[in-house]
Amino acid sequence: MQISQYLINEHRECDNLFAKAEAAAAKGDFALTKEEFLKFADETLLHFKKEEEEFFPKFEEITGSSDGPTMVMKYEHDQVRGLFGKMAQAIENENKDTFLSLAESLMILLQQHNMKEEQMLYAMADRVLSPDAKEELIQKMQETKL
Amino acid sequence: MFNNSGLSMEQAPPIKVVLRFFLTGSVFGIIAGIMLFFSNDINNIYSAQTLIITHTLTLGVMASFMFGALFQMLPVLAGVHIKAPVKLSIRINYALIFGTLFLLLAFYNGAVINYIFAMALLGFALFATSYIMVRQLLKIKHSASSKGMLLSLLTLSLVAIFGIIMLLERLGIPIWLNYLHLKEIHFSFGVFGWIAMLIISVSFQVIEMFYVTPPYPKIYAKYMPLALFLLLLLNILSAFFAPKLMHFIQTAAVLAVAVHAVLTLMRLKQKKRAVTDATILFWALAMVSYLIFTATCIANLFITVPPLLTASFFALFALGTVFAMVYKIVPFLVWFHLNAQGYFDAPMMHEIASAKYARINLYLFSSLLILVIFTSFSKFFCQLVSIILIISFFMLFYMMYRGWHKYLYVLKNGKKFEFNMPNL
Repeated sequence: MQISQYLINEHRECDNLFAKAEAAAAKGDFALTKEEFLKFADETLLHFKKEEEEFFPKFEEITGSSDGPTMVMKYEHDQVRGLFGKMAQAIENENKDTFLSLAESLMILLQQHNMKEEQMLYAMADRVLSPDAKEELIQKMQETKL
Repeated sequence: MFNNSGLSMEQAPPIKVVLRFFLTGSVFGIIAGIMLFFSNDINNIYSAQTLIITHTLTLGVMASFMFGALFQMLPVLAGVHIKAPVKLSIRINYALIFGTLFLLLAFYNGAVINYIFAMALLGFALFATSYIMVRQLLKIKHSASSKGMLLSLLTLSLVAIFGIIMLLERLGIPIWLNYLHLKEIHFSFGVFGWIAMLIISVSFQVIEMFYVTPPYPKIYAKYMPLALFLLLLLNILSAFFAPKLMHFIQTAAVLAVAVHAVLTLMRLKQKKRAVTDATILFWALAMVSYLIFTATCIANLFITVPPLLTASFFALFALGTVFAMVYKIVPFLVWFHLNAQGYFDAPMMHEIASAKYARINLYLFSSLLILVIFTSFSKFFCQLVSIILIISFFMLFYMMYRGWHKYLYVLKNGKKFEFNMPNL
């Protein structure tokens, strides 16, 4: 399996979970929003952990740089984490407008971030890593727990 | 290694780069509406009034919005590095504003000096933008979207070249080419090559990203911009060697873009996000307008369709896309830039453009879809359309102005936390 295939699948899964949380909020069902949002946030945070603990170090090894693109990606992960906190607060306050507005910002931020990862980092990892190295990396990511 | 692979992690340019162009475009939109209100010869495609309003919309409005969007999208989504974007955007913005104004004056009074200033300033604005962006785009590994942007920027140069040749002819300099054919080429490159191709390229990127839709079919996205570009080149050849074919080639270009409109509507229908905001409906409205434009072009093969009607639907396609993009991008950028600088109280997107405000603008704009049908037959409807256009652009302008105002307010008064920013 290619690195890109594995990680892009996770992006898409997060998109699906996000859409469910947003749909619940749009209906004003905050119990369901909380449930769906937690699933989405957990899945996204696990994905970030896999990247930060396994994929980015490997990428930095390939490029010989730890203050380049991976640093920007980690910074963007932090921006997303910050938004998660605000969205959780909006759910607690049952503030639909705030939640949907934050969700909109989050979605653009995440999609922009995902696009950069998919077109640049993952594509490069696919090209450069040997099949064995890819298998090993994917296995490590599969074993990562939140 | 990172750079050698054509990759770049450049972040967004300062917000004022984009807003400068967007605010300019809105002001020209209001000006176009005012001119339309007082026009009395808009049905005549050869009249000075038609020429003036058309170029206010294509240069003043569309080029401004499209340049702003390119300054934002190329670094962020295509990984293109644009050097000193603030300085460059100021120069291009002023050259575009004054070049357009001189051109409109030249069309109005025919003064040679106005033509000369128009050619110099617009030549600079269009060629500089095209050259700088194309040069950088040639360095990157392409997605379907960036390839389309590259081709549309190349087309922009051709539009400018043919436009300048026509202006020279107006100044009495012999050009040894059939003026009507030149006009056809200038028109088709501008409409299908520059405007439609850029909208297509942008939609490859943003429809999936903003609304979580299935992607456009891979092969289609890969070859569509190139196929459209080749059709337009063929159009030039046919102008010289087989003028009778031009009509067929242009019809093929119309239909090619119609395929895109259908695919976009299908994607919007398949979106995973449950929320249908005003921007999705602006996109849908734009695509429906294009399909009606296509129908009028096809009908024109058999019966005489008023040119104003056909042109109006194309304008709604282009302007609808602009409204869709701006209502999404500007509130996001205000929040994004402040949040990225660590401001706690960065205004959220709905504080810049509330769902209700955007919807009112959408409903106003949607009414044009019906009203433009009557503009060819009634001065009253033409004036009604112009009033709605003025209000719509004013609402867009006001939303951006408020966003900019809030941005400056938070910069001055907002609470900020420091955190380790990567060295971008």
